Amino acid sequence: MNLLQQGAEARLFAANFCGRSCIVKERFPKKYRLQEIDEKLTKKRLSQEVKALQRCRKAGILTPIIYFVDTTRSIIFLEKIDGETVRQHIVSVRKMQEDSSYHSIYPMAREIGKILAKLHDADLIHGDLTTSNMIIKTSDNKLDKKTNEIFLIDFGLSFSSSLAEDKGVDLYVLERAFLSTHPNSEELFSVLLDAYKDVSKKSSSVLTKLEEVRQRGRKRSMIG
Amino acid sequence: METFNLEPLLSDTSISVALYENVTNASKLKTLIKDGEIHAALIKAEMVLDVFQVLVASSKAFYAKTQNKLKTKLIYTEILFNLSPSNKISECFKLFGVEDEATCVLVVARKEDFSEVDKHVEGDICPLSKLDNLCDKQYLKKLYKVTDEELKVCSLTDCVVSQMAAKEIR
Repeated sequence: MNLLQQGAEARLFAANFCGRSCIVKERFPKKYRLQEIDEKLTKKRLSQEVKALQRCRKAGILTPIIYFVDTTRSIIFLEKIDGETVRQHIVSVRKMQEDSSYHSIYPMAREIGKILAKLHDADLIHGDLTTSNMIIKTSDNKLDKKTNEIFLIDFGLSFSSSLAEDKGVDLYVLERAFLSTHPNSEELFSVLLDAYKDVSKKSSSVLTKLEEVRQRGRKRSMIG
Repeated sequence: METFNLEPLLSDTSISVALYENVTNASKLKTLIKDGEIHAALIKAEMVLDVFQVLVASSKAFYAKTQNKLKTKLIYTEILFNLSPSNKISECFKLFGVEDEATCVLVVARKEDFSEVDKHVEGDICPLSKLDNLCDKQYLKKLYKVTDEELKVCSLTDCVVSQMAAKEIR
């Protein structure tokens, strides 16, 4: 197995599982945490990830297929999605074109907005939305007009909630990620939000909350 | 018959999977397995969409054996158990095990045990690609509670495999 990436939370390996290429995600023990807390957190994140992947698929959102789960060693085998992250895509598109606008990426932003609307309407919160946690699958079929097949990945911090507050924070986290990784992308993000508004049935309360969260930051006041 | 290596979990284990039609001695085969004469799993062919489904169930079973975590008595019964969405052992045998008068049987065995099993099967071996015609897709869709929304984003096999893999996490 080849190490692909080493993050703070887990290691990713590339492997072959019964003839299909897969990603092995291993949540290793964190020595800096108290052992009991570490085990509890790791276990919880693994099961949250598995549950969210399944529920997303049930809601019609593209997520990797699960091939194998080992709860004792905290390992999951996932389908490998061939493609680039939305982050890589935005960066490379901007490098290629002469002006620094995001116009050519608007359709993709709309698509992401639609996906997030579906996610939130199913009462699922991703918990760690960034442009790196979305993968655009490169389609073999060039004639395929379904230009953007965007997969959501990395559901370790996801949970289920119907509160507008949680959905607002979810969008806020993405907004911060957008603005900090892609300079002057305010307009691009508002395109995404417009699509979200069009698709989501409960968008008005979520967007009001988003405005509120922008004023005060991600955490609610700690009083009381 | 095709042979598959169960890498990367168990690169030293290879299994052989074979599909038989016109089987006449399913009940005798079941007795032989019960008595420990032959080592194999017999699966109702109608319940398998794709050989990949069997490979996922087998990987889980052989891996559980190495961890001493089998939930059923044998690796081969564990394969049947892993194929089922339910956690009830008797139910999974009824759903995925072969009936005495079954004529289409999918056999799974260790590579080294396969030739011995093959000797006992009275039936015609046929290519695994035939599974696609044999399987009862509507029934599996219902059993695994696959929604139409889900089928828009992935194949039935993939939905089933995902649920099998995540069975213990509810």
